[in-house]
Amino acid sequence: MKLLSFFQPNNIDEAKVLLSKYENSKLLAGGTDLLLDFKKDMNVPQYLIDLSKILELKSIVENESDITIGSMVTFTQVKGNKLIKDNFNSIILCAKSMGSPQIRNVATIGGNIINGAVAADIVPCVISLDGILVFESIDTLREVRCEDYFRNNSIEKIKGNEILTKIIIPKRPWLSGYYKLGKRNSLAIARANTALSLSIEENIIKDLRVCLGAVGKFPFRVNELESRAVGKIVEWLFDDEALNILENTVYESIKERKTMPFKRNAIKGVFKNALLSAVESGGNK
Amino acid sequence: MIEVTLKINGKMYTRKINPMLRLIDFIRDEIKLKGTKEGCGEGECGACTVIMNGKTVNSCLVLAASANGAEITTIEGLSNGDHLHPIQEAFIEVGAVQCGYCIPGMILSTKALLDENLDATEAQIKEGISGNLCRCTGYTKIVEGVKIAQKKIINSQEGD
Ligand SMILES: Cc1cc2nc3c(=O)[nH]c(=O)nc-3n(C[C@H](O)[C@H](O)[C@H](O)COP(=O)(O)OP(=O)(O)OC[C@H]3O[C@@H](n4cnc5c(N)ncnc54)[C@H](O)[C@@H]3O)c2cc1C
Ligand code: FES
Ligand code: FES
Repeated sequence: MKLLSFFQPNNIDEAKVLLSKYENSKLLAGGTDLLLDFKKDMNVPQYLIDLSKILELKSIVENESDITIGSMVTFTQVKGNKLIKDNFNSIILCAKSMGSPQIRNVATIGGNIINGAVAADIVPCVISLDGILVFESIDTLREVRCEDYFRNNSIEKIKGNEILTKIIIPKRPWLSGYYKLGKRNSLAIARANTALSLSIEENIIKDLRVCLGAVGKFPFRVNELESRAVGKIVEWLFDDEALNILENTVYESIKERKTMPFKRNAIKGVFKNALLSAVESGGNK
Repeated sequence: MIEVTLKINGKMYTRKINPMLRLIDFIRDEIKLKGTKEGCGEGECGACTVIMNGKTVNSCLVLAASANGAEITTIEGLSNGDHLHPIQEAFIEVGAVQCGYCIPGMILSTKALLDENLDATEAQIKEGISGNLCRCTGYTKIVEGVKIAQKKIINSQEGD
């Protein structure tokens, strides 16, 4: 296919109109995934709609019960943002470990989620923080939990006329952490990440979310570990009983793959580092 | 074809281009500024780094059409007539340049870093140039060069 036209709308409404008018169109955010596709002559649309001039999509806003991140917010923006620092330690750690300065300066949160690579770094963070994705088209608006978006992807997947406009993350006094093993370009065998969030009272776990990335078709939560942990002391999470659940989960998820023997062990270290990063963040949530 | 206008090193350039043209091709082929280098063409090496609206980007991963209206600084925009930029002087003095292919990008990453944080620590310097690969120098001299540049810039500001 050949690119016929390029549009640069100034606001979300204009972008929605363009998207519904031109069937064979694609949205361009930072382009760090898309331009690599174009280079291979893959996914070249007839119409490209560039979101980079839409200021409405570039802000991080605090509301009474949540913090809303615009889909065009870059990793650099997230990394230096006070609201994110004060509330979501896991997202800060993720943003710091993502790409290089040049990549972070243009790569967007929305692009990372929609591109949906197995190892898309922000996704486990958003899932473990119970984040919600907001999709808008010219005549629809829907909110989908990020976890459901990936779990039920055949149903929930973004439609051709939709834009991911923002990500809503509930504010709550929980701790959160993140750890990633391996760089994007390292061998697939050496890649895995974990994001988690937890609520602790007097060293007792009240609630826990653990999301693993790059150990399955999409990032997913470890429900068994989450429910078993409630009521236990934090140190229990470092015990074999907890770590074995992770190991088995990874085994079940990728038992057919060559990377399984490495990853089922590696995940335990990745998880422990993510947990430490959460606990060490202390009052910094 | 679409029309774009970019401000490069302080000068406005308007051209009709194919919307698939990358920023690096606009700079090298349309404007004929050859200091910006292409290495990997995939966002990995940083040879193509330019400063766009104050932030470094890999110009191989940006469409020129998308950069419409932006202000770009390339390596040619750093010197002032015959006077090299302090970062350029520092790199030469310390011998941070071997084949030189990575250097335009390396210097622009350094500039963006020091514009934001002139007192960057060694760790921050290393992080700041982490998106620029050099296959010759082993980076030690480059980091030294950045430190000398910091001193030069601080001294020149005190002299003002
Ligand atoms: C050198 C290099 C290093 C990288 N390192 C990492 C890394 O460490 N971790 C990581 O996770 N990724 C990494 N990536 C991948 C990439 O940078 C990220 O996935 C990035 O966040 C993509 O965002 P973008 O804005 O560049 O998206 P684009 O390339 O512009 O778009 C990606 C896809 O999302 C769609 N899209 C974008 N925005 C929206 C929207 N608002 N609504 C609907 N659809 C939309 C586009 O149509 C396209 O299909 C790296 C890439 C490179 C080149
Ligand atoms: S040529 Fe652009 S990053 Fe290598
Ligand atoms: S001096 Fe040769 S690549 Fe850096």
